[in-house]
Amino acid sequence: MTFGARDPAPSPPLGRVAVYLIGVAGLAFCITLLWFGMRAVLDVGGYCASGGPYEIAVECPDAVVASTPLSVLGGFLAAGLMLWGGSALGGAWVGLVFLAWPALFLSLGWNFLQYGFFPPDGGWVWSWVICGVLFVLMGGIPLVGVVDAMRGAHPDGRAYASGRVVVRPLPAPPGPPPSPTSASFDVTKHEPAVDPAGEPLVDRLERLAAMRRRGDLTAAEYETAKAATLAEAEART
Amino acid sequence: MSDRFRPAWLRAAVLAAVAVGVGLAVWLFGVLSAPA
Repeated sequence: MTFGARDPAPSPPLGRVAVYLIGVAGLAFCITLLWFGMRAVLDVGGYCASGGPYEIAVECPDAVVASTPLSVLGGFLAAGLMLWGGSALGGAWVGLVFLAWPALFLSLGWNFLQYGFFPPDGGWVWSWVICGVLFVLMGGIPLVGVVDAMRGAHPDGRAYASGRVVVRPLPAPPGPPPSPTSASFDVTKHEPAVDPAGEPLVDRLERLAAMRRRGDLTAAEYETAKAATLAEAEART
Repeated sequence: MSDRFRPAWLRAAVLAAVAVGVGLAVWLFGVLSAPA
């Protein structure tokens, strides 16, 4: 049972909103920085090094040395801020953090494909093309799942995020035992208050059998109730 | 899908935060890449 009327959502706590927004901005900042850093490395041939005791064939550009550690470590921190801040805002908002994965791999995959097909030295670089295809797959396939989840394929998440209240019937409680002295037991009269149409026929019959085993129903009452249940089910079909 | 992301001002704030983050990264990488 779903009540479609939306309750006015309470205002999210501003402190958590601020943390969430800092996380969003930080994640966008870090992914963009990494994207630029990767392009700078591809510009010098795809590999480079900096520091250490060895002779370095290709020195990393200064910007890469400064930005890459910042973007990687900062990205984890920003994702954590998004998760913590978003946990106060609802499932849909906190779920946005999972877009970081497709954003990262699709953007870096784009770099690989662009430099693979149009490298600075001309020709094609097949190893970069292969990496680009793999990255696009690694980013694109999860993106389909994230978008599917956001479009409400999962009713619980949708209900939670949209502020709706979903109420499902509870499993049928044992209920008060019917009077064993009544000669003709009326199943519709003594059943617990559960929508009969919502309970499968098999469940109703099993519940009656359980009541018979417990001694809540006499044999005659059980047969009468079973017949009434079957007749009612037949009438509905 | 947009009805899942309410209130509207928070949607706008998230988009603005993304823009700010990307803009800062572009600016910072430009500064770092500038010849000394």
